[in-house]
Amino acid sequence: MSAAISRSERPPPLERARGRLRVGIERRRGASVLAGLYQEGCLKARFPRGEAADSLSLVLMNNSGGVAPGDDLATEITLGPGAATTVVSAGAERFYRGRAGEACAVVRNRLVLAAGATLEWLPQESILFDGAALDRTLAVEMAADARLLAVESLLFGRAAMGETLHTQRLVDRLHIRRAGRLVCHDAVRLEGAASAHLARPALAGGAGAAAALVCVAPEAAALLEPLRAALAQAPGEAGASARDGLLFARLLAADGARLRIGVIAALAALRPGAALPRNWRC
Amino acid sequence: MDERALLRLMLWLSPAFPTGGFAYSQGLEWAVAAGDVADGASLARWLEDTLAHGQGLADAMLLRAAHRAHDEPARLAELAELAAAAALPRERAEETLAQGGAFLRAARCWPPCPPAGLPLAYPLAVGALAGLHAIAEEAAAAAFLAAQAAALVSAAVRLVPLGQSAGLAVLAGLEPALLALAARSAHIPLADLGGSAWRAEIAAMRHETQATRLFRS
Repeated sequence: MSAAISRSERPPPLERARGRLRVGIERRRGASVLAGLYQEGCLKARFPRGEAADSLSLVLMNNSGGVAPGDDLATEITLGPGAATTVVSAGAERFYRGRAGEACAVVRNRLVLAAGATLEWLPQESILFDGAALDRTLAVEMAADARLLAVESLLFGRAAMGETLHTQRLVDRLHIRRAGRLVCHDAVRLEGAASAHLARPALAGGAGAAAALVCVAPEAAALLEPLRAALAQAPGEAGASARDGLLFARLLAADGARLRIGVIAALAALRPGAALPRNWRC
Repeated sequence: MDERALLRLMLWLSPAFPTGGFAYSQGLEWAVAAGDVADGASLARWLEDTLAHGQGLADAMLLRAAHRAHDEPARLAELAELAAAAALPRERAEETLAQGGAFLRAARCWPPCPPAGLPLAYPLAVGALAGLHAIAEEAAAAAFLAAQAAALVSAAVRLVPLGQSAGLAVLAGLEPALLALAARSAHIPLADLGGSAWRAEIAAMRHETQATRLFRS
């Protein structure tokens, strides 16, 4: 993780990037197959051969070389009845500083799951550089018996290595509707002197990385104890709770490498018997 | 502010109003056991942050929204859904829904009341009732936050333990933070309901499995 961070010391991209990606997946003859694909601008999708035949592997790519204020990215993934997919990103996404007065980067991700569909949203880390400004939403609409597993990992720049991080603005929302009803609403909000803010005991206690993990499925509550057992062994601090078919966990760690250990342990507990997606293997 | 509004806020938010507030610590019990809150100074810092960036901020935003929607039952129902969805730790959801229900039952003696049958989280119940009684939104938000702060200080006095006067000094010292938070909560859109008090949230979740517990949250 630290190698990935130091490699990205190139200047922020000057061009504002725009990207649109729409992926439709349907279940046909027992397999999940691509039923529709629209790619525009810097967003692309790749479909490597999956490990499980009934689930389609989807890799999201952003060719712009990082996200800067003013960028406008939107991804929509729609699953038909019974379809399944695991979504990963090609790498960690970097969020750079903008020029003074520039707007936030706007990222809109939307997932739609029909009856019996299963979606795993497992992007790699989002790395916030000093001066980053990001307004991001992950909005999910799912049928009552659909299954969702989602994780979002945030790295607060190189704060863990003593660098001071200021964000112009960060809002990272997670909104989940099941059968039309809002069941999960979270928003990470940070403004200004992020490092000093994150040092405070009730906030992040000096952690340089944080992750939110959510599982919405009929059997979600039964996964609470295995998840807690996995988190108890992980570096950093974490808590998990469950109610009404929703399992939620928050993880904090000193840096991205330690956070990743915890997230991988949690994913192993929540995906018993399933191999970790290739992009998550170190 | 007229005297009748002041009187009602004082009564509704008094520790004697039967909402069971004494039974909840919002994860403070875990923070004390973990050593994060050990004296007046660490308590003040913990509360300032959980109020400004955690549950306090969320409660103030919800209270204001319910105040504005006090005569729109459909909007109140949406807010009830939002408040429950945003209370991710199980005990936080139980706390705010139990207190909201108890508050509404007690408030029946002060008609008009919000519609029965809506599972309103505590700040929504207070906001809707204040709106129905034409009590200023800003005053209701500040009074609610002060009552929450007082309940948490009282919990800490028992848990740490702290002397009564040390607890009162923390409460007095929180005044500027409470007023600033009440004002700030008016300007944040509900889509951004959330915050960054993650260790307080982890405390609320870890409290579920804490070995020795005096409090329900």
